Amino acid sequence: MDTLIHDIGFWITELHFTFGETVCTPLGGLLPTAIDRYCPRFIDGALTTFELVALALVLAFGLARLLVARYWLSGPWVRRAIDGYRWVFQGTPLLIQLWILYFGLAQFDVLRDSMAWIILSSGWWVGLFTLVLNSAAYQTAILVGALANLPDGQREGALALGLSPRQAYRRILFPQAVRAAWPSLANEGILLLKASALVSTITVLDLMGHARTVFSRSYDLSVYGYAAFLYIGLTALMTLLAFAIRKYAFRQLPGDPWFERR
Amino acid sequence: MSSLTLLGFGSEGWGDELLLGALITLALAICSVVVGLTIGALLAALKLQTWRVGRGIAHGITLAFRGTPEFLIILIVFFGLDHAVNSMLAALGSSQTISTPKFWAATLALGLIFGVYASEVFKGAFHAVSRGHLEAADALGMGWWLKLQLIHIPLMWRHALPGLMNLWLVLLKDTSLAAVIALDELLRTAKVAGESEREPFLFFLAAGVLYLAMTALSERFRQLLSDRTALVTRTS
Repeated sequence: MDTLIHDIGFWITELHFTFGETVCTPLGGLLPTAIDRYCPRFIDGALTTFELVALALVLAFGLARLLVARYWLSGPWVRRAIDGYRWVFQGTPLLIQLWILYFGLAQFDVLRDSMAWIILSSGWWVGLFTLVLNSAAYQTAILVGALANLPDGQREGALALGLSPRQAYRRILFPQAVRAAWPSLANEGILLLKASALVSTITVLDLMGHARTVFSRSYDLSVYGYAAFLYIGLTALMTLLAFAIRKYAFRQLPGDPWFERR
Repeated sequence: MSSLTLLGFGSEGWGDELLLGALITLALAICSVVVGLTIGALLAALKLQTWRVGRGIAHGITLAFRGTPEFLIILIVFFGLDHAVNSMLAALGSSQTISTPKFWAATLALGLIFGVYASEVFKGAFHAVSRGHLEAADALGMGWWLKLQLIHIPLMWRHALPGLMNLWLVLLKDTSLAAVIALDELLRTAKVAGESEREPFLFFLAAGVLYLAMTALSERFRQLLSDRTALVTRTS
């Protein structure tokens, strides 16, 4: 099992580097000398960051969706539990969450001997897990806020048409809440992209991890400059993706105010 | 040793070290706010100019900072300062090298991040002031500086405060990034303690509780502030 996971990770890294080679070979000599040799590394880092963040965002949205439904449809105790979860994950820095799960849990022999160690010993998996838990807390907050701000007539209208509260939530309220919250959700995506640089402190070789390795060899500050440039590019890509998803996913909902304005 | 002695005060426990770390964290956050508000006000002033080049520069800076990870900004500022100061010393013919004070490098980096976001808050607040007040100031014959100083800026604060409080909470959590340049704030103290006592979980947990206490207190303060400055709308 653990060899399988290890092999898959290795294979994906290899794929990144093959892709990096094909991108970097035609650029040979054109790039500044500070990063010329390390171009495939930067491509691998950018791809790793992108995959990690995209996966984390999708999984976190799934988790947030479950939590918001529980929050909306269940009793006060469930609400309190979800509030507690949000309080903990929104009230502490992401860095401490990463370190407590990666360095902190490693001290327990029970965990080291169990199956969970396959996941807990890998920075990538702990990073993904933490990013999901962290982002889900923020996304839950955003979606709960959006639901509370929907006009009450939407719920009343749905109930008057004979929909059960559950159906009204699922078919009428939640889709509208997602649409209303979309700009905030996209913003959370960008914040998570930037926060994901912290996984380099738990041995993940994402864009930041590679940049730090290269910097520690040459002490050339421009390396960080190029990394920043790539991060800005990734942010731009994320923004474009958010627009594209919005345009595609909400097309059956009538009257998206954002698109009608222009 | 039991976890109680480890977290206690005195030479045996790390309680006093952790509290000192928390104090450094708070000091770092407060200094960064002072730097950040200054930078934010300057950037906002640039953005509100009619001068195109200035506006372009300010928006360019905002865009670059918004797309770069805070972690990277801290490293760039820290190593950049180090490099700049030492190459300046070398140019002056000195063979000495100075190690950059980590606290002030972190303050500058966090202040820049805070300032860039604060400038957007200020810009929004500047436009949110109701026109009637400004027209009244014009009608009284106030010059632009008097109007800005007595009417516009005082009225702006109440619109800016909620946004600034949000930024404060973000900043408080971002101070933990200073741990990666080995500044002995709360998180790094917890890491060092955990490594030397072989109890990382316990110390990270303790640090987490202290962070939660700080954010919860800030949250409380925000509630008080927003109750006091809430916009009263006339209903009659």
